[in-house]
Amino acid sequence: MTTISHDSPGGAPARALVLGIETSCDETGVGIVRGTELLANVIASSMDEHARYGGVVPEIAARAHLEALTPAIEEALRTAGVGLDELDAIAVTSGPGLAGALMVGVGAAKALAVATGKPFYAVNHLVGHVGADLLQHEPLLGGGGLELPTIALLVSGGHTSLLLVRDLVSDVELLGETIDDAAGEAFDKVARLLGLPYPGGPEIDRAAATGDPDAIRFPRGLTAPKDLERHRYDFSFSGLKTAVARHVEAARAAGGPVPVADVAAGFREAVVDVLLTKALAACRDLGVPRLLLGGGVVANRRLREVAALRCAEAGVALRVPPLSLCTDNGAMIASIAAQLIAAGHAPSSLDVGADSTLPVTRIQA
Amino acid sequence: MLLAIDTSTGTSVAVVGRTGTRAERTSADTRGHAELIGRFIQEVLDEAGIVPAELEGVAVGMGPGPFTGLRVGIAAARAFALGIGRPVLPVVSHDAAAYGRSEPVLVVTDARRRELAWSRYAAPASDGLPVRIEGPALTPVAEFDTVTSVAGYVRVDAATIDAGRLGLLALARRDAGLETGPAEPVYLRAPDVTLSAPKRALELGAKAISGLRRDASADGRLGRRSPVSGTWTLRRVAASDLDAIDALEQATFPSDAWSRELLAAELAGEHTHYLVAVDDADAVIGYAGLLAPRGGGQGDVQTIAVAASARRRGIGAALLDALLTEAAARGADEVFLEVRADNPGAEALYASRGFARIAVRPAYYQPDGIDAVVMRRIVPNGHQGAS
Repeated sequence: MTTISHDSPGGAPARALVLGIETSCDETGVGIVRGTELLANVIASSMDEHARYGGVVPEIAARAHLEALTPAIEEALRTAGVGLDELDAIAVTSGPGLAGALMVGVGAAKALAVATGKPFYAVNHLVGHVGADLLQHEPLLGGGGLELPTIALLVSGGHTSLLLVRDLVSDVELLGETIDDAAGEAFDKVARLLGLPYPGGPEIDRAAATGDPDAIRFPRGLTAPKDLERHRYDFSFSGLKTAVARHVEAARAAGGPVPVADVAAGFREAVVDVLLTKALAACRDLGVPRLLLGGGVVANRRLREVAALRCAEAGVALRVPPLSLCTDNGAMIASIAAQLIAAGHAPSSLDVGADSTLPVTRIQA
Repeated sequence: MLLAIDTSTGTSVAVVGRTGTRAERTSADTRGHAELIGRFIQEVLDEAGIVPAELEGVAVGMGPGPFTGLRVGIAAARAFALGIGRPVLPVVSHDAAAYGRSEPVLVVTDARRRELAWSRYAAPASDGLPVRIEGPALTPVAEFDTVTSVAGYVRVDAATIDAGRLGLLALARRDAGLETGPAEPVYLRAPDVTLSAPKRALELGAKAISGLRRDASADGRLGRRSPVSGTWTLRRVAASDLDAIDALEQATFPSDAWSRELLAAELAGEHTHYLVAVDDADAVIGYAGLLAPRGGGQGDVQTIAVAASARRRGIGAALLDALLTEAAARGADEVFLEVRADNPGAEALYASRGFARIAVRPAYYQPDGIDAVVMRRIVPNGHQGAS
């Protein structure tokens, strides 16, 4: 298998042993990698605590991070079979994400770095999702190693971003992102409209299984010619959500049952269609015949099916890392830090704070 | 020797030994905890001239204090302790402010949202350790007289909690074989159920779902005010209020009532804030909702409804005022609403609260074909809600 490797200027370890901490949303992730080798990937989720509210509650997420973090670090060290003294660096997500949640990880990572005398690396969460694919694993789809440049489509409850990745440690460009809801959020909200529980993704999938995706044609956001001028690679899901709401209201007003299966299938089809249409347009426009999917919404089977089909038609090589590396995790953060170290990048300043809107061009904060 | 950290107010980090505080860094900045914590730890270690392995443990202030900052210090203390394989010694932050006082004291810190956090201490025994007899507790600033009216306590307003003193207290308690403090943070408040996901555009979900932002005026027909007996109070909506709200919705807006599902979604909305007015028997006699994503800078009065039997008692105005207070706390510098053009009384109420007409939407209210007047209120110096 081929993997990205960098020269190691100044004797920097080509396969650095890094512990990575991720607390940007509702998952407390601690991972340990040695270069591209995955040694531990511990994830504690507070998702159940958010279920009754139908979405992630930042204060609940931040409280859960504080409870889970040190036990997760201990478990990751145990799983990897390494001691803190053996580490080459401590890495953490410093953004983008929920500010209060990020701060728990940043505070802990800095203190751990000072306590152990290890270098501190603050890393971009979104680039981390791409870095996950560097780790040796059996991908869900696609073979061989990650090749660059690639288009990356990152879809989760907090993000919907389209990236052009030329180099993981020095050249990542944001092509577009959602201008309102993240795709995962849209799933949650539509699930609620349909009376389905949180999180919405799996529930919509289940309901859509018996539905006809073509029975109701829901709008594809930002795909009209006038929108494509300004928002060629941006996404919008609030109009789609409104359309679903109107449909549901109309069905109820007419006194009939809401066709939940057809609505779910039509909604899911619209989301999947617009995600892949824009991602493949980027592949075509920029002459990059590679697409990487990341983020928790990759768990959606229909997204993977349609992606495989349409990438094959378009002659685009599709890669989807395994789910445990697609959802938020600490290993992907450690992976990027290991690449930064191999490329000879100096540690981050201890003064770096949490940045909820850290731009993707800032791979290291 | 201990490393000591407190982020319950500003950020304070110290190295303490049995001879006293060896090095200390303190900032009163109530926001920069995550930025400052690493540097401060490094600097106090350097200044004290020690390496982490020489420390016996890590003392940390567990609050009370604004949660976001408080957690930074606790997370750092736990991670540092893990890093050196030594214990965490938690301390109630107020105890540090009382430590060293020989008289009975009332320690007070700012809890934001117009509330104060306080703890009451008896005079210490011969060991000099603080004896907390009440608190930590929260009390609204406006009602704080009830706390301070207990005679014989010297009020100590602590703008920052001193990590050196906190560390010395932890050391003294530990040496005396005492528990130093609670293992978990002293939060004092339940989590706010308000979503502020990382995104750039303003979330307009609930309004988009409704497609019919409401005539916020059911209590607004103000022509004559006549005093009506009976008291009422406002409180946050509870899930169990849905039936009552649904019934009131149907009665108040017969031609375009929101569906039960939509109401439920609104009440549970991530960015919404719903209040109910209840009578003496806790029966719902009015409700109102605000949509204002924290940090979004804008808010919408979604709806205000008051039962016909309870109108002309100022309930609608009180609901509106409460929503505007919440909007300000969420940093909404602009608040919007829509009102039926055939309801000048309501429009006058809104005008009295600083709303001005900015647009008219023709035939917005269907099936009646009535125009909607869109109004906006610019909030002077809107500020972010805390903790």
